[in-house]
Amino acid sequence: MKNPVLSVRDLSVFIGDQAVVDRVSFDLYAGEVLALVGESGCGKTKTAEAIMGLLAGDAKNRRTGSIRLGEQELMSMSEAEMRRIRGREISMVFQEPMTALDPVFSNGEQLAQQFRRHRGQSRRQARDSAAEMLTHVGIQDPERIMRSYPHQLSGGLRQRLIVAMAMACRPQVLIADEPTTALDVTTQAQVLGQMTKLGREIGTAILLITHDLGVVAQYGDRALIMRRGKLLENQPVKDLFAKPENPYTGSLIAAARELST
Amino acid sequence: MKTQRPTPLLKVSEISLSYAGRGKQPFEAVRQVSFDLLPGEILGLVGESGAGKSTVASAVLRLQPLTSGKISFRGKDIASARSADSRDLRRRIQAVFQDPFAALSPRRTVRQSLLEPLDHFRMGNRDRRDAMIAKTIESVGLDTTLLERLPNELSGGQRQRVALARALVCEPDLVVADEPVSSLDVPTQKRITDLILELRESLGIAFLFISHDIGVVRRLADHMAVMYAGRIVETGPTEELLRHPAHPYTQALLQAIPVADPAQPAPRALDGEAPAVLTPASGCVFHTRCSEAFAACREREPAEVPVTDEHGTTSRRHRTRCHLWNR
Repeated sequence: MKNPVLSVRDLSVFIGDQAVVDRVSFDLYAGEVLALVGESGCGKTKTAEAIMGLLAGDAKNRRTGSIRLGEQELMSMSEAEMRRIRGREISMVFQEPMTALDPVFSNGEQLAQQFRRHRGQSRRQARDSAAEMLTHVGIQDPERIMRSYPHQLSGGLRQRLIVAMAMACRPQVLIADEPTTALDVTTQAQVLGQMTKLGREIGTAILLITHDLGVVAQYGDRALIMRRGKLLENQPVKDLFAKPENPYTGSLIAAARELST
Repeated sequence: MKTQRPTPLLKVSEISLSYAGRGKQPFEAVRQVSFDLLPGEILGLVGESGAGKSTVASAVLRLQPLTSGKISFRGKDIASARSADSRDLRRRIQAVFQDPFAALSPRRTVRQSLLEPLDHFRMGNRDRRDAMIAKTIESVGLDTTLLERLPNELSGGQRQRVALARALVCEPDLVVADEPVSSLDVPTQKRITDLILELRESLGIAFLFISHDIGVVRRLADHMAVMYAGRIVETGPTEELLRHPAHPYTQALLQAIPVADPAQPAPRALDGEAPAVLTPASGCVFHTRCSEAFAACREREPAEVPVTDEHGTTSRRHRTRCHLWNR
């Protein structure tokens, strides 16, 4: 197999004396969707924040291990260096789209700014790139969406706008932390469908953080199961559901099936 | 010959509710919604955000006035209830909401929160109240030692059990539960839904259970009603409706759910936008997104008709508002 785009080795994050992420290792390959799964408090979001260099407070200085993006070691980078990585090479989508958008700028201005800042495009070029990007996330009337403001969009449209912004620079890695947990199922299908399709097209590797095993089964290529900071399982999704190695994984799958239709 | 249905506990007949828009036309959140609920029955009301589910709940709880239609409880119109009747209604119809932390006063212990409704409704004397509280807290699966705790000393699941206990301590006939498990982890959701089933069994309480999660409703509800854009588009016995969904919206909703099995077909997205952001179209509310829409769907609103299943049997209780079933 080819080289991973992101390689995490023995990553730990400490809050006080407690390892909330405990010696986690995994690889992420171009164009794949890797699901990171677990219940609330298992350390999945802390893992993502450690990769992005976004840990708050004390934990910021208390991470150990190695995070390599291609040839670059992210652990030893300064904040200024990380700022050049974030948004351009690794971008992120969060659960709540409204907090990620600025209410005083039109949607078009916010999206176009990605192309101006990270790709150095002119105003006109950036506008055209923005419109094109919106069609890639399945928005049929990009002109109307670009003229309007975030509060005028539905939750699903907002999240697709965020995905468009995150993918604007064709990043090597997209980290999506519960991107559809706040959305209805029909909208979830639109957002996840477009996001994973776009990732495959442009070769972006997606780390999809979720607690929903339905989402894992339907959108993931491989899955990592986390519990209490530890990685319990790393398997292709097909094998995970057919023969889970860890009993905890088995119990999660059973609970999900019992509560599903 | 018509089989005799027992008298419904709650009868909602053709209710509509509007919210005033600021300087704009009023927004009709619920339009001509009807359903019955028998004593001890669980009705699951499903639909996506903005469909009008919570507006229906607030109408049953008399928190919103109706624009038209009527709601009867034990045979009496709830809108005409005055003073003593009104107090009795408030005791008999209780509510549980999504966020149990917001529902409980942060400065009151569990015991104080459970005592308040007993006080208000003047139920029992001091000794009897202690016994009622102890019995109720045990019925929701909590230990009596938790009675002296404050809400912030409880887990999310425990808080939701306390919110449920506070509803149950008044000995209601009906609990209106609006997304009561949506903020909980999956294993906790399962335990709370199991508890609701037990309570229905042991106390004969009816539930109007509102949820966007069809999996939870399938486990709980005897009957379900699917809402879209303020209308009930399909209603019927839960298993029958899910096995044989008649309305294209119900079908789309079921096909969008990701199944926890990679061998199952991928979820299908529903094209277009939810109608909350659009001006109401004429004809069927769903025609703008429906893959099977034809001329009549754009012109007039469909009437509710019975559904015929794959064996050609027409079900009296499985009904839909769709022109496809009325050709």
